[in-house]
Amino acid sequence: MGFQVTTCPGCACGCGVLLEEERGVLIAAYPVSSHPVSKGSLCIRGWNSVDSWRHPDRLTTPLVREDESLLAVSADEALERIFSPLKEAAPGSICFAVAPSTSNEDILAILRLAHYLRARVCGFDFSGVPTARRALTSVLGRHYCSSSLTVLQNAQLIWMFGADVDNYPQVASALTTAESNGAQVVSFDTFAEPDKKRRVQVFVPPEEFGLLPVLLQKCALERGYILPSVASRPGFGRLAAQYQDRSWLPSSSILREQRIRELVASFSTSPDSAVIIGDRWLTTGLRALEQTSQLLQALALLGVEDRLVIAAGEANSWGLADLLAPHESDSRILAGLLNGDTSDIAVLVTCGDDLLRSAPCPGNLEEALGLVGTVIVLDRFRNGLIPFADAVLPSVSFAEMDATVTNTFGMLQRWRQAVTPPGEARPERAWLGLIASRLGLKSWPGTPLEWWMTEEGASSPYDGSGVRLLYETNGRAEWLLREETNLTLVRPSGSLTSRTPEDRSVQAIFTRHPANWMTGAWSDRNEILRRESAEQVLGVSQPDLDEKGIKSGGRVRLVTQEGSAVFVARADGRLPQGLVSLAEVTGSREIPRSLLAGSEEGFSFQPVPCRLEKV
Amino acid sequence: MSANSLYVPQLSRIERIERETPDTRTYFLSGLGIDWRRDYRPGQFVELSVFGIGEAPFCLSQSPSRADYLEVTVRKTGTLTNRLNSYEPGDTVGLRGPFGNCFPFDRAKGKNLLFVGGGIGLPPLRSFINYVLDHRQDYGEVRVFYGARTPADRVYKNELAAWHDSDQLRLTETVDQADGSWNGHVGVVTRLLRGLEVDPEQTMAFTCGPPIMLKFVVAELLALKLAERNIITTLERYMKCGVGKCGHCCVGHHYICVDGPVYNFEQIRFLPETP
Amino acid sequence: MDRLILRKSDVQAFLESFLADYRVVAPRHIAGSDFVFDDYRPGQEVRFDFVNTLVPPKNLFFQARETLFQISGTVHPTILPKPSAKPLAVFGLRSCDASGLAFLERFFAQRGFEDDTVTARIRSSLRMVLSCHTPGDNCFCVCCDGGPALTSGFDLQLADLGNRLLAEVGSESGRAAVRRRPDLFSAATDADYSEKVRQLAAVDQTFNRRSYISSGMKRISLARLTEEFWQDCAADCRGCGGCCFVCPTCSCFSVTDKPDDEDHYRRERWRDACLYEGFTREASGHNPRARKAERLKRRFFHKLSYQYVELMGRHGCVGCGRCVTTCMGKLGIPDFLARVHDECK
Repeated sequence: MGFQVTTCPGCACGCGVLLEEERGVLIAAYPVSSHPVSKGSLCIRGWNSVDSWRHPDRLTTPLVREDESLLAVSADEALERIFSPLKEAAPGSICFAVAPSTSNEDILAILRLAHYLRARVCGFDFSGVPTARRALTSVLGRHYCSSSLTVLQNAQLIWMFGADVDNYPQVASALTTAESNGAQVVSFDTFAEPDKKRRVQVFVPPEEFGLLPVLLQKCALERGYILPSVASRPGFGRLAAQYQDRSWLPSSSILREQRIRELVASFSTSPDSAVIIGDRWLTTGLRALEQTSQLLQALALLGVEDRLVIAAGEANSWGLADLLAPHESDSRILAGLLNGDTSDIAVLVTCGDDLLRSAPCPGNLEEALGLVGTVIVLDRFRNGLIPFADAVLPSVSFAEMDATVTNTFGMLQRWRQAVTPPGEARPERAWLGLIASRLGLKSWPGTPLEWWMTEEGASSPYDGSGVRLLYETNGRAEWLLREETNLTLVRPSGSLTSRTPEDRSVQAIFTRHPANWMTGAWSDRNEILRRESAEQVLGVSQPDLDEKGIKSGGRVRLVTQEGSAVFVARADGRLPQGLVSLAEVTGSREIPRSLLAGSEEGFSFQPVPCRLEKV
Repeated sequence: MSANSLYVPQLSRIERIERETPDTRTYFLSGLGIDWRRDYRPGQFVELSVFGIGEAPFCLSQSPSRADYLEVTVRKTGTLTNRLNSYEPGDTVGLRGPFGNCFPFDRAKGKNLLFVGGGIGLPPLRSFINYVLDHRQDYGEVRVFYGARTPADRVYKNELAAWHDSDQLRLTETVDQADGSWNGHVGVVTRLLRGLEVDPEQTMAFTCGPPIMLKFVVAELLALKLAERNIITTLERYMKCGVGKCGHCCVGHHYICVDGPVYNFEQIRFLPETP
Repeated sequence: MDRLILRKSDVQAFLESFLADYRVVAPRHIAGSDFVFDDYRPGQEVRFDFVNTLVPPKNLFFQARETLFQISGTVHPTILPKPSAKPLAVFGLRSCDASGLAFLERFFAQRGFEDDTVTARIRSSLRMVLSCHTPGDNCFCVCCDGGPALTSGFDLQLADLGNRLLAEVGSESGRAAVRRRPDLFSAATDADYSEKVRQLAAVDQTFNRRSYISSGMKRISLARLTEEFWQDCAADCRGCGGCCFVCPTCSCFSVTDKPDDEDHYRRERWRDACLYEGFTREASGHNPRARKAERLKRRFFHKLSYQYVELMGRHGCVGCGRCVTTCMGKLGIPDFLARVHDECK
């Protein structure tokens, strides 16, 4: 029997997990009571993180495409196949797309090879973390949110913005602790939580996600008490003046300024308050980046920016954001792909989990993938990307490698190898090393720690001696970044205003839970995962169903300006009238392109006006 | 590991398969050396293994008094039953059991018996009906009511024809939706019970079928003044081990696989989460 | 009961005497304040300074995942039996866990069906229980007939008297164990025994947690808790299943076949949790316990009702406190019972 302490790959909380193996087979996962984030608990994903380690869809051999099918081949044959397109591709026409489930060391390896090939690198992280990171750095001068969940546990007043904390159970647990100590929770969101009766719920339609922080700032400024450290910032005077001129302030159809004023008045600047920003906030609404920046600014005006938890991200979303930051990560590549435009990509190498599964526009992306010259996939499971692959290289799960990942609090933690990878599976850095060697790049680090001693590692924000400590000591999570807020005030633009909805009966919004647990761990037990593509379910409020005479479980056609699609309608008690929600977008081409739009700043799901028809 | 291990199935060959409806087949299973016949009672079930997938419980649908083979009637519903649907005679499955309690065939002696079955609820009843027919002198009047969605969805069509012809019992059938060939009753099976002439003291009723059907059937039987303890059904639950260990089939403090699946309605009143 | 003295410095030698014919297991430090029951390696330091492991030792006997047997082929299969394993000698079990094992032994053997893997493992094992003299923050065995010391359910019960242990022999296996190294044992004096008794009385006073267990059991058994109460609990429950996995008396499992390769399968039994949404879902899709509130109600009924006491001879909580540690929604048993108490005030 063997035990190994590692970190759960389920989300950006990064709970400590103890893996049990027997004769080379992973048996079970358990919590670790002395872990600072999880303190002896795990969510359903963590408990089941090894259940399908030997799933039938696990990739164990390299594959290459021969006519219509993929054939299992040796590593050498696969590398042969990959070698020519990479060698022949013009500079800049190779693109590495990196998933947020990829470990730091593997990302460093990708950067090294990409640099050598003059390839472009982009992260495909749709969890909202890229947006959060950009807003945090530009407004608060920080890279991460506050230090830990204790800011929530000790709070007496907690505000939540677009936070579906059920998907971040440690955050939900901290809320439960706070509420059991008498804390009041106020939730600003589009979705109601009918069973959370003690919470104050403020309905914010998605098109007013941009307006809410503006109102918060206005009310905070009017209240008159602003921390001296904020009032003395450059630009404060101009900001205050802007709010005194009311002409640019948009009017709201839903948010009531008086209500916001009351809430702000009760939100004291005492250390007993805390805030959660969730992935729904970061990915929904008109302009995700600007609304997040303005929200952070509002929080600074309210004096709470140091007690902020961002409940968003996958296993290594924050590490990916850290490591891509010094390099030119071209988000236009991804935007292009999501709009079906692949004109300048000759070779696409995807590293990590299924890009299709988490992308907002899988239908568009499928079209794009069909047009890219060569698609090389490095992944752990057979999934939606495989039909487009020209070559597939099997990679390893979190339990089969030594590496580091970074959580939402900026804690660098270890993944420790507990079992040998099956078949030919090996870490991305090993595959890339073989490719690099063939292409003439001989300098390639061997151990995980050596990656931090490279140029790529040195240009990362991490402290090498801290990383060494992680590799040399046992079971300790190290803080690597000590942060202080350095506020830069930004004036809100007029374009945050809500659109006047055109003649429409409902709006559709798309929520996806991005926390992706495909990082080599896939539970066949839990419904969240839903491997078999079920019929697409559209959540509809009961009043809207009644109005159209549609029964819950019946079929409905959603009609937009650019087309329509048929769904199964289900009554959803969390939705207000006038809003429908598509919770999970599978790779179905029936979804019209118009329904799923990205924005330049990031991937936000703008609400789309549409009509419901009974089928 | 001994051959008596609780979870190791006995191998059983499929000797014959009969297609009952488009999605239901009856499998005739031999014991490969083990004489199962003596060891089971009507109402009991077996855990059937489809190797490579797992196990599922199926009631034994033939009376032990005429079991040349063990018979299970299976409708294609999920992963395991879908795979089983691709099996051919000669293929081997696994069996564990028989498990569970059985129909109260002793207490029923001398009584008039009413059987009310809906759709795939007929198989468990049929094991008892045939048992009764094989011990005919021990029992009073026998009436069978069977309802299916359509004529094609009726199981045991040959047997139903034989029962219609037999003077040992009276069979009345109904379908929800008729087709051109049907000239029997149309409507739900509960309608057939309305106004039935019975002697409540002397009658026991046995009913199996979808939960919604049971609700209405029981209401009709109570209206006929039958005592709750004389209305008997089988409780359905997701089962895994069949031996009262895995916990899936627990209802209140009962394990359906050990304390049931056969229950009378007086008992059911005391169990939570039951119709 | 035989009472002997074993010096702490001799425990290592004592454990090593079992290595040839037992799988010896003892608590090992793994990280921070976490210990885990793991294979004892010769020369390994024996630790007495742990409170308890978060991974319950029930997992040595009722594994989180185990192969029941292997199958070769599908439609024309051959069943390959599992190789047998050495019996377990477990050192450092706490009283709560020993009570849990006695509970599982009874459960897996009753109703006329004996699970020959779990019960055989428990019965063939050598259980060396280390009584607690310092309870953990979340422990409440005193309320649950689960400790801090036992009168039965052990082969050897060891009380920590500083540099030595007072060993009480509780079975023939325990006696045989002592006979392996009689040179390491000496007779205990009355003073030694009095010291143990004094210690036991003292530790009783030091528990942080008490639980309203009797009144709670009554209300659960008589179904006096409202739908709204269960809904409130469900709002806090995260559905992780952790309480089931850490509990020394929980035993629910499921069984499926998993492929080893194209022609070979394993039939695996793996831990399952009644709190999981799919636990009672039938093939038709119908789910009698579709709502979390219903599943919570079921869990506590199973753990704490008189109806189950009748089946098992005792209620299902040994007071180990692990559910308190692991629950993210403050629904560990003592916290839950406090809610019941508040509800019915």
